[in-house]
Amino acid sequence: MILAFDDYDTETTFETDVVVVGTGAGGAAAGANLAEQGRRVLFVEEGGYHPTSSFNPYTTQSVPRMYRDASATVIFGRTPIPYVEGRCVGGSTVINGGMAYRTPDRVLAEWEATTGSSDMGPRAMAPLFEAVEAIISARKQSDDSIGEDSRIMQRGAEKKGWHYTTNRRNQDRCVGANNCALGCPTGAKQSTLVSYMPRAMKAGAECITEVRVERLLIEGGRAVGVVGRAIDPRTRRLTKKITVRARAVVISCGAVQTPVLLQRHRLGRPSRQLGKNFHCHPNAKVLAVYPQDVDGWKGVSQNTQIREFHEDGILMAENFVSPSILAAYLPYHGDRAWELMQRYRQMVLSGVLVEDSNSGSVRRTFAGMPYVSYELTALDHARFKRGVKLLAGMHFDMGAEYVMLPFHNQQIAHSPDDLKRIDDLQTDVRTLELFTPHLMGTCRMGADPKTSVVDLSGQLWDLPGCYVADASVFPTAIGVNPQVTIMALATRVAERLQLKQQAA
Amino acid sequence: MKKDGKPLVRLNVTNDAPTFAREPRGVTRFAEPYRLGKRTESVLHAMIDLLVPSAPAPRTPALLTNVAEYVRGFMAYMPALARLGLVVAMWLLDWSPRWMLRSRRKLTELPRSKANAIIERIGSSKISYVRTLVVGVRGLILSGYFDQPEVHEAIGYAPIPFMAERVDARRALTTPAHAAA
Repeated sequence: MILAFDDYDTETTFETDVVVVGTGAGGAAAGANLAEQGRRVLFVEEGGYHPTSSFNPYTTQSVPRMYRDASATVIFGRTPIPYVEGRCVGGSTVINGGMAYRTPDRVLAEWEATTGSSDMGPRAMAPLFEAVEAIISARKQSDDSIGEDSRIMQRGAEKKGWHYTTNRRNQDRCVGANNCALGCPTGAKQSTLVSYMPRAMKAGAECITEVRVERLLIEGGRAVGVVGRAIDPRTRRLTKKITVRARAVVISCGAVQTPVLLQRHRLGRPSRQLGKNFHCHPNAKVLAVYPQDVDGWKGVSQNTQIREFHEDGILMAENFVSPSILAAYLPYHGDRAWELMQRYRQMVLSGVLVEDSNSGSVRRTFAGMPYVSYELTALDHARFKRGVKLLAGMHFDMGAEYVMLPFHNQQIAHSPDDLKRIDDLQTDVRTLELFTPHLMGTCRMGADPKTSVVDLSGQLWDLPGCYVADASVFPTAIGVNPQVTIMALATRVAERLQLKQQAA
Repeated sequence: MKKDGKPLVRLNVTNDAPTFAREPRGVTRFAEPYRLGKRTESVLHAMIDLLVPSAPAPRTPALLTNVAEYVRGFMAYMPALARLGLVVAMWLLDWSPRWMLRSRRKLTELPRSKANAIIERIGSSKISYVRTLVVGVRGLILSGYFDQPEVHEAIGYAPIPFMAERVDARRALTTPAHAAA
């Protein structure tokens, strides 16, 4: 059963074995595993429950329902970076592109070395990845579901002689409706809304929605529940008090909200690493306009990744979006915006994703809001310039008329010659226009309480009974889309939690 | 299900994705659009008038009202500080001819071409947080404009019939007869 605002009294208390805060990649995977092992699980979700039948292509009706703060969220630094997070049953998996990549072996080897535990290595993680991939149906797209923008990217990579892969995506018979960012209307994308959550519900789990958790319940030095307030969907005001008492608490609010919740209790003191080691895989958009109709909105986007430069920390991919989302990032307004958007059917929207070489931080501010800060390094800047030049050059090779660039002082390139000026003009990182959906780190997992926030079972070093299962436990950036890694680590957290509960 | 009398757009098809029992069943309730003061509301409308394309692009009074409602609808979901920032950004933009020493009149009182030149200048400022003044307001307004069905039609984007057809196509793929074949 899923409950919502109207179902709660002025004060409501629930009791359960395990309370899981969040229903995204981490929370749903951990909760489903625990429920299937016989635990009573109660999910607490800040957003609402929006079934597949409610998804449509209108931003007006999708973003406020499914994106945190209607996507008015920014990472501060010399280059402000807008970011997005899901806030609904299914979390960010409802609005992501559906990439299903395992953590690269080189990253797992690094994790194994830094934590000193083989649990984090490629061999130990492989069975977890297999289990996750089976549940979310990670597989390649059928040929007839692929969009023309993706085919242009493939042909472009072939022409350049670049290595590319077709993505494994969490989809079951995807037919290319291309509405991933606003909720899959066919139910093909195996977000946790249609994969892990139904499993959890079938095993007896329950979910209370429209409840914002504000603090942990701590008794005798141990986490025994959470306290929050229900959000009135008409006024957005926090009103009714909700208390959940449980034997164990799993926090899965993501790399920004999880540390903010824990910082309220001044946790993470042994290492002082809580909120630090924040990574965000910033990416820059490259918009190419072709002479012919591409109709990128027909057929699945994000089918191809150009991996030729992956070892240098650069990935390239296409990612077509609705005109409303695209228009939000245009450097023009008025008639110039109209002139550009009339070419919507001829556009290919692609991006350069950089594996960040720096780390930022998340702090809880006086108002309880997160302050996320992050600075790009000279290496990141150089990677962006190189990636944009390469990707825009590929579009010109494929016949693009012009390419919109992610630099505020060099917004358009009409020919490959214009790209040669990038190095001269882009000397300051502040000219970059960036964006990110990948937020990681802040509650680093490790084997040493002096350098990590949670142990290898996901439990906080300084608060027994409180576990973290989301992207915040990543020891480093992973360089690929994170949902499979989150689900795999959350599965492990659930297994370890179950073992500890049984032992207790 | 309702947002100021407008129903949530549904694709009018069924699909096979799992749904859960809950009460109230399947109802989507949107927040009331955020209430702005009279003067801020008029600044918002003036900004919309300035930032959205002129004819022959779609530009009816009803469409511009829908864009304003879109902006206020989003504001209802923003954190208080972000909402305040947006309002301050609109006011600062409106006063920008004064603080840029370009004119004694407000931006929304200037001829369109002159106002456009000022917005473009702010939008290409070397200081990223000054650029943000334009980026935030412009992004939200243009996002609202390009979310309107009339505008979709004018740029050749027809998502509803396409998605409805895709939903049916997938349902056909998931039928037992197809699976057996």
